Formats: sequence, C-alpha cells, structure tokens
Amino acid sequence: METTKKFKNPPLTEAVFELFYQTSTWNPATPGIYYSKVNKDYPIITQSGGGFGIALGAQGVQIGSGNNNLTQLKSHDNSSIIQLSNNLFTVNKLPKYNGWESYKEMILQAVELLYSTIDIQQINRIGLRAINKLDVKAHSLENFKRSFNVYPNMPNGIVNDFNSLQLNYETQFPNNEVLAINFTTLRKEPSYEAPVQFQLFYTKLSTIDKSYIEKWLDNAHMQLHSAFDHIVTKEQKEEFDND
Amino acid sequence: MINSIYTKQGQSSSLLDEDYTNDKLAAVVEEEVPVSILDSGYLSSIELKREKIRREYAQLFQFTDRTREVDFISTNNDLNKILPSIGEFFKKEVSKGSMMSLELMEEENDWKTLFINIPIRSGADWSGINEIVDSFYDNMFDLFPTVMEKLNIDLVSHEF
Repeated sequence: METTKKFKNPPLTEAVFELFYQTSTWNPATPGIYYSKVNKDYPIITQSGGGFGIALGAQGVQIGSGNNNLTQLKSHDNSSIIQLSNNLFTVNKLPKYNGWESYKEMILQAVELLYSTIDIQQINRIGLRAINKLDVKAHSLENFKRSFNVYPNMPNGIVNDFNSLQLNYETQFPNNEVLAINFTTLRKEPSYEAPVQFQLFYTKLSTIDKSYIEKWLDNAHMQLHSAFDHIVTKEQKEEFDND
Repeated sequence: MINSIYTKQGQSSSLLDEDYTNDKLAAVVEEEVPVSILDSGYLSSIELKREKIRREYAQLFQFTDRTREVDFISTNNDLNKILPSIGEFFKKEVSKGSMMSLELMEEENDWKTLFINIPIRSGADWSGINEIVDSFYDNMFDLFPTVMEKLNIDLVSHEF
C-alpha cells in the first residue's frame, strides 16, 4: 500500500467513515448493547434525537422525538467517536490523527462489533471522508491559487476576485463509486485568518459485502490521498511542515 | 427546501448567508433533503455539524467557546430546533438587534445549562423587559419543558 506522508501540522480536522445500512433487528436496547462492547475505549455516551417529531407526553408537548435517535460513544479525550442509529453507523477521528493504519483498525473493530450486535441485511452506502481546514491568509483568488491547484476560472472583466466561495466537484468512478471534493471559505476564527474547509469524500452508492470492506477502505484511502496530493500545492504542503 | 439554500449559499463567510437566517420559520420546520452527495456529511461528520450550527447561529449569537456550546446544541436536537426562533424573538424584543452570546455552564452531576446572555442597553425599560422574559418562561415551560430545563436567560446591563 502507498505510504502517506505525515506532516508536522496536518490540516486534517476530521476523518469520517460512514455506513448506511438496513437491519430488521434494531431495537431501543441496541445502542446499550453495543456500548457494553466498546465502553472500555469509548466510555462517554450521549444520545440525541436525529429525527424530528412532536409528541404529547406527561410533560406537555415535546419536540425532537423522531425515531432516528443518534447515539454517540466517545473516547476519554473526545477525539475518537462512534455514532450509531438504526440506519447509520460512523467512526469519526478528530485530532490528533495517528495515521491511516491506526484509523483503519479502529474502523474495522467497530464494524465487527456492529455485525455482532445486529443483523445487517444490506449496506446501502459506504463512505470515507477527510475534512481539512487551511488558512489561506486572505480570501482572494491569488491566495487560493497559492494553496490549491483547483480554483474557479472566471471570465476577465466579469469577476476578477472573490471574498467567499463554495466549489463542489463530483466524479464518477467504476462500480458506482464517486469522488466528491468541496472547498468552502469559512469566517475568520481563532488561529485562522481566512479559513478554507477542504473536504474529500469517496463513497460507494450501492451494496457491499462485509468481507470486502477492508479492501474498499484501502482503495478509498488511496483515492483520497491521491486527490489531496494533486490538489494541494507544493508551497502549501511545505507550510504544513513548518513549526 | 432548506438544503437547497445551504447548497446555494452555504459558505459561512458569505454575506448571502444572512438571507438564510431570515427564514427562521422554515429553518425550524422544514426537513433537510440532500441535493448533493456532499450534503450528507452533516449526518455523519462532527466537524461539519459544528460548522453548520456556527453558520446557522452566526447572525444571532456569539459562542463563548469554539466548540463547547456548539457540541451541546448538536447533541440536543430538540433545543436546536427551537433555539433559532428563541434567538430571533429575543434579538427583536429584548436586545434590540445587539449580538447575544451563548455560554454553557456545567453544574454538579454533569448537569449542563445553556445561558443566553442578552445585552440590555442603558436606559432600557427594565420592567417591560422583565415582563417579556417572565412571560416567555411561563409559556415556553408549558410548551417545551425538556428544552427549557436546559436553558437560562441572563440579562446583562450593557453601556453602549
């Protein structure tokens, strides 16, 4: 497998593995059963209503009572998170990211335990996402081009510059797979004068057998790594290695 | 649909986003239907959820911390559904357009309360403001008890 370069100050703010699935064995106790299997590594548990509904209960009108409750299981330092609902399973890694092999192992273990908890009839979609945040110092075309090899091309005389942009690219790959790329300028925030969120997403929009997940993950990671490598300029990459 | 607005005006640093907050009622009741494959990221990503909340509340509140209040809102869906409307109400009726702030306070037994800090201009009609806030508490506790038990209103005298 291709070795990925580790930067001193990587721009990755989150890695996300996501699985949309169908199951007939989900019940309200499922998050608790899953939690009992992972609580050593993910001791913090919270639950939020993912759906939206209105119910009249003993305490009056209650909202947010949809049946897509999302359970979050977090590590001690809140940097590793598993999210679980009746049709969505995610494994999220916030900084500090310890490299692909470590993250892949985390995903595969979490998926194995999911399969031992419920009967998954079908995976509808699988995806791997890398969310990066870079400081381009000023939201201008010139600075954007200094960081990225992908940029908007506007006709002369119409627009010469920008102070805000959102770009989405979606490219079809064989086997119903898609590489999606997004650039979004964000508001100024502490430590970022002119942040740009740079998202890479590789997904398969059809069913996949469990035995194929690891192979799919390696390929997805390779696609994301290749896209990152081609899109981010050499000058910007050198900045990731500055102290 | 709300999601199409995200798609067209989704960038947080964009002035276009201000139009989004004007449509507060739609933001509360409309379902979100992704129109791009990237939009589903709000379901799975912690960071994208945070950015979405920061963007949605940018015209109403400042966050005291970069992630604490945002994560609390993100994991309390019932609160997130009506907080924009509450913010619009107080911005119009009490703070008179001044920026409010959100501050999460952690008490014993892991109990968390989100404070809405509302700046009150000097010379403001305090009795009228207290009447509005008292009435708000009475009505909202009856309608949304599970939301209101997570909220507190703090009126802050502010010299402008």
